[in-house]
Amino acid sequence: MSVVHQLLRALPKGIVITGSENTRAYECDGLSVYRQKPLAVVLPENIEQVKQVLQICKTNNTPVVTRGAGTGLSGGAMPLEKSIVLGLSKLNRVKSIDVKNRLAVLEPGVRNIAISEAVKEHGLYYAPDPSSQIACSIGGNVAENSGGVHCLKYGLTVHNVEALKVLTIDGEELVLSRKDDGLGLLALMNGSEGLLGIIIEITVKLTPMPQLAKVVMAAFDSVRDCANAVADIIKAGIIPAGLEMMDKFAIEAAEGFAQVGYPLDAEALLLCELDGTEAQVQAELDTVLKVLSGASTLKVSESEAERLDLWKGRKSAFPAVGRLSPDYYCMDGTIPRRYLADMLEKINELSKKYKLRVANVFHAGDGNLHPLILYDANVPGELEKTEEFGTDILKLSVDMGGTITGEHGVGVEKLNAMCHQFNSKELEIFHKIKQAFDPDSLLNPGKAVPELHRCAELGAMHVHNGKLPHPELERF
Amino acid sequence: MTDRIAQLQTLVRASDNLHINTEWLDYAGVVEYYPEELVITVKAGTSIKEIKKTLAKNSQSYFFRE
Repeated sequence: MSVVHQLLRALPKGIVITGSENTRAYECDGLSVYRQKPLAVVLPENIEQVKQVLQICKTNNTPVVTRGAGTGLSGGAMPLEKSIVLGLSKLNRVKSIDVKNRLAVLEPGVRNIAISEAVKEHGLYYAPDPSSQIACSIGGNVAENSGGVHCLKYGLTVHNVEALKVLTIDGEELVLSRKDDGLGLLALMNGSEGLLGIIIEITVKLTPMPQLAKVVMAAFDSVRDCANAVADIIKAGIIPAGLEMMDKFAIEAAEGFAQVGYPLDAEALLLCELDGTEAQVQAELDTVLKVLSGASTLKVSESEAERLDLWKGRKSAFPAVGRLSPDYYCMDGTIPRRYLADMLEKINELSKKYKLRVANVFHAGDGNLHPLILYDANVPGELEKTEEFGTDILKLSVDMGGTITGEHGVGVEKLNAMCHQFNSKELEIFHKIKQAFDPDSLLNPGKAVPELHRCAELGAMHVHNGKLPHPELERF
Repeated sequence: MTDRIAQLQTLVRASDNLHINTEWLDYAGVVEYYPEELVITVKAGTSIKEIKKTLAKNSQSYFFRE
């Protein structure tokens, strides 16, 4: 009997989805250029059923690709040929809220925004806020160690998770907590991209809502001045609640879409949010306005409505850029803040070289870039050219002392870039960790960590000191 | 300095109970500090006082207690 038949027999009606048309909705995640239909999709309604799925898949040596809401941007939840997709969206209960200790216990399918909605009446919220927060699930957030605008001040997912319950491929339940001594397994599980276990319960830290938040909008005549202002704000001892930058192209796109009053003659725009008590916000505002005195336009939100308006343009920047091109590719490199200006210049040069337009709209405070490369998938060869452009950006990020991903994960998208970031010994250790949890390699195999022969074939093995590309760059 | 580290390595290898006084090494000072990165690299013998003084110039601090 095939694995699909065994699943159909073991589980109640409506849990197992089969057939080419029915599984089509699950053939990709948010990175829709990569598609693959699975053998079947299983949407369990309780943990017992999750265990049954794992047991059947293990017996049949069938790979399992775990999926949250499918909003990921690196292909982490893309099915594999002959795999089962294990979708956890039906496990969406908020199990308990502990107001006194500011904790919430959640099932993996709870949507990110639903956590904040559930605790709002207590004056609390869940701080990490990926752009997809109305749809993405907390289980997926943990698997990808998701970020968002507020992560500069309040930390990434890993900093906001207190404990996890994880099922191993053998169905064993692991309970990992921040309080554990020894190996940092809780941190290891954050960003493990479905390779180590199935996350079935998450305890998150809740944050008190700030009394007041104000946003400063600063426009600049030069990209370099704007990028340097980012570094100067941090240098002045201020950690804003959000510090976002947009280049001219992104400003024009966002303004055309949202009409919020961004200055169209500016080369770059900074949005700096400050939150806390009234006194804190005022003190930080004084410093920030001093640092930003070189801006051509400077505006502080005077009301909550105005603050939300100023953010509206930034938040709609991605769909706004989407109106200007048939397709766009969103990159996710991260670099030290002091190289932001150099990096943006180099991206501009690459844009000319590849003859592809780029809009930059990103978490500048974190040094987390999101260049959006505009292309047309219907033009033969243009996607390949775009991917090459993207790889160049990621290589530059590594060369500047940064990383190939800030918050979107590796998935299938950045396997080649991983060869540039890590040497073969480091990659071997990653494979050993995977083997320790999943010796038969059944959990999302082939994702996140490239096989060594793949890197060798690319000829992109880690270059050792002394032979680094871009020797003109200062390094850590 | 290289000589001193080599000397120390010899001592460590020869002994299984050794107290290391980093002051003796004169191994102190800031290696690298970019305030905009919120990261500081210091040599092991650097005094907490000196680190705090360096950071305070940029309204920054760090969490270790004295």
